[in-house]
Amino acid sequence: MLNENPINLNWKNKLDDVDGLSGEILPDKNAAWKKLHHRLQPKRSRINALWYWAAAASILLAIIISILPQNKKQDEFVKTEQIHLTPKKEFPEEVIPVESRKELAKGLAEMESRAITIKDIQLKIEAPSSKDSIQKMALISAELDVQNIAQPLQIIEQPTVQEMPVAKAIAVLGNVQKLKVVHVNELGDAPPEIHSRPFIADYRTVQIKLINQEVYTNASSATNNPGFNFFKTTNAPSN
Amino acid sequence: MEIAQLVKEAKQGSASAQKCLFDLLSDKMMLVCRRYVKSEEDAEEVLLDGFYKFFKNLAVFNFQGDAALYVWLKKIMINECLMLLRKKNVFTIVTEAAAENFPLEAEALNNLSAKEIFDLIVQLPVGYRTVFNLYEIEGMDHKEIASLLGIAEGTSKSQLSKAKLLLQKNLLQKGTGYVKRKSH
Repeated sequence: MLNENPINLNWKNKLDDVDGLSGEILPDKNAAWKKLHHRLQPKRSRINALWYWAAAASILLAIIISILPQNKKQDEFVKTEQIHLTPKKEFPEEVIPVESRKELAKGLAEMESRAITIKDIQLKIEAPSSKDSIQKMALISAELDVQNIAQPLQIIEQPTVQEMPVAKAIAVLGNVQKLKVVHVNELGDAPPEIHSRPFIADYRTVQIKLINQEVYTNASSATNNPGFNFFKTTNAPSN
Repeated sequence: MEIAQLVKEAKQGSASAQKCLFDLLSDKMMLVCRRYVKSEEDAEEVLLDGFYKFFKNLAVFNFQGDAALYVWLKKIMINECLMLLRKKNVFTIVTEAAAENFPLEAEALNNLSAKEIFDLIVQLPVGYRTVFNLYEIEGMDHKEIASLLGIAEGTSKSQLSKAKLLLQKNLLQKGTGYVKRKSH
């Protein structure tokens, strides 16, 4: 709402019409505009920055992808080169006399034969679990040319730890401790000492299975003994 | 380029058109801001805030001529100035009884140049100056001024009469130049 004063006064028009007074203008119009422009375009600059970083990341990724297979190829090339460059170990004929050379050759032959026996022993210890692997092992031993070995390779099929007959062990235990089945009502009232003290044997039935297939089981549940009495049962196959 | 074309391009987000509008109108708007805000730094801040709002809301502005655009921008600037003054808590105007409306010697002011009138207004204290600007130059009534500044209507009236008295006093103090021009 306008007041009752006449608005078209000369002095007011003078103030309105003037475009700018000498002392009352912006000192640096360009700097002011830059500030304003920066404020007007904050989101766009953020988006630009986002695009910039996304583009940079994609370029970097592309470069890495293109370089990686080349590196692998280079590695293979280097390996093959190394294989070719390894010199053969030969005894220089000029330096070593003939007799000592023969002795050395003998010693080497012995060492090789020993090495083969050690290998075979290791194979025996490994004890393959499946039939396929046994066949493979046999093939490998044939390739190794095991004529020098005093005893031929014997591969014994042994049951693995997973195949251990746990049921058998439980059956053996069952033979040892055949408990009479009693109804709860037949037991009558429990003595006060037993109620006051927790009966450890009720919840401590321990069964220890070792690799040599000996099973240790405590018999405290049967004897009502709070201590640890172990019974030993062997499930190993008799050889 | 015409202002109408500049406004159209600025609405579409053209930075060059916005800059042209800023260059065209900033000096005039700076003068408006300086009439309300004494400090040059504050006036510049207000000017930038005002132009920011102007460009942000330009899309909803219906251009009906240069004068309409100027009035709208001036209104934005005045609002920004009042916001800054309120923020700085400069309106410590004590409620006063309504004073009699003292008539302003318009004839005396008419003889002055724009610069002289501007200097006289700027010399007034902030409370007087604000009410004087809003009533005498922007043409608002006391009710509107009171609601804008958060003061009583009577206070607005008394501030205006005091502003006019002080202006008159300053005019007389200005002395010889004014008297000489009046005698011609």
